[in-house]
Amino acid sequence: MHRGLITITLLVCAQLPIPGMAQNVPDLSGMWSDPPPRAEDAFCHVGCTIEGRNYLTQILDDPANIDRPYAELREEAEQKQLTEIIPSHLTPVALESFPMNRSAAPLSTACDPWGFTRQVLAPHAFEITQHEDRVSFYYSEWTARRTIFLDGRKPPADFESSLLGFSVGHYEGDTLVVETIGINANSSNAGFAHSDQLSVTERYTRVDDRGGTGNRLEVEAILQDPVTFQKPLHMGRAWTWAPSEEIYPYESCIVPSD
Amino acid sequence: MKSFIGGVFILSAYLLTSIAQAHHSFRGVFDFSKHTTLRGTVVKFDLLNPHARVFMEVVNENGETEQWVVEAPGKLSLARRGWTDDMFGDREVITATGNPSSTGKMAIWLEDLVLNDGTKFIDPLVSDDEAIEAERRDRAQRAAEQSNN
Repeated sequence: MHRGLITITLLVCAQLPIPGMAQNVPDLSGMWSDPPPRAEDAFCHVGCTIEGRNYLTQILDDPANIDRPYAELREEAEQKQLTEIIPSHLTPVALESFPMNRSAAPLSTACDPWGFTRQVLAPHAFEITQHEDRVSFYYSEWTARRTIFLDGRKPPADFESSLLGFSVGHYEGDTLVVETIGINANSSNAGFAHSDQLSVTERYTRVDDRGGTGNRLEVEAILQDPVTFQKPLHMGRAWTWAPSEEIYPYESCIVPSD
Repeated sequence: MKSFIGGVFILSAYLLTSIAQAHHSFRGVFDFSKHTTLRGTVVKFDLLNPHARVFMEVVNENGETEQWVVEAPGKLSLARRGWTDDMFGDREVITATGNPSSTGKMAIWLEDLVLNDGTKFIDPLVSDDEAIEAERRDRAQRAAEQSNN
């Protein structure tokens, strides 16, 4: 009898919502980090176009390429992305500065916090905390933080564009959908620069991966900007569930070799 | 930059393309076609983000002590591979290999580092490359087998 009561109590508790969390939303909370070294994931380490990633998959699994090393196939996919995929999305104005000269304007070598596209697709640890009315993102790169409001609010009347913009979100089934506007003009890791008219839709989905259930998080970021793109550019990357990882502070940034 | 036969070995340019080269954002800062090996004493270690730095004293062929810096990825990457703040002993002698500065500064970008006891640490990107190449070979083999069936 006593054991039966305990069992019933446990079953009832299991049905109760987690305090502060809406029901029927995917559980994305916790620490995520780089996936194990894999061909496509390495290609997308700091973000890639979805088309470029699919092209790499195609040539990796083509029997005609059996003797070609990964470095060569990756280079082919990077060239495809750089010379065909991304340019086909850019406006004539954006093409004038594409691809950016990384030696003349090094991106990661400058000790400045990253802009939106680089931050969203940044590698390494990335912590998500879900609340009833918002989701918090905490990135290991630059220890940047974002808040995604789930309560349907609009940007404040005096909102000014910022490095990471203003984000609202909602859940669509197993996916967290984030819409961001008000992003400062900046450069990307993919050779293009965008204007302050950039708007981005991010779709985060937790999926199964080799060796685990729900231990992989994928994002597809859809970039739209009338100044930069003549059609939406789809980019993405992935993380692996990494509860033991930590986020360390950014200290004493010095440009390498300075 | 001098070329040494004592503590510092400047190796000739490799023709081999490195996958790690494609990863790095520092193409204008380091020459990824060249490799330099340093043997010297660790005098300071900053395991920080966004980049870590190992400061070394290296004695050149003329017996002069030079101050070198081994630049490496940040703590985010290195801590996952076992790097710790106290991994070097007091004035430990190590061997570090990396890509030399393009501007002639006494700095290299880490490729691998060997402690006094022989423990070896590889640039995380290089160790990833080996696993990925193994995956590629497996996939290519499977694709070829399916194609033959």
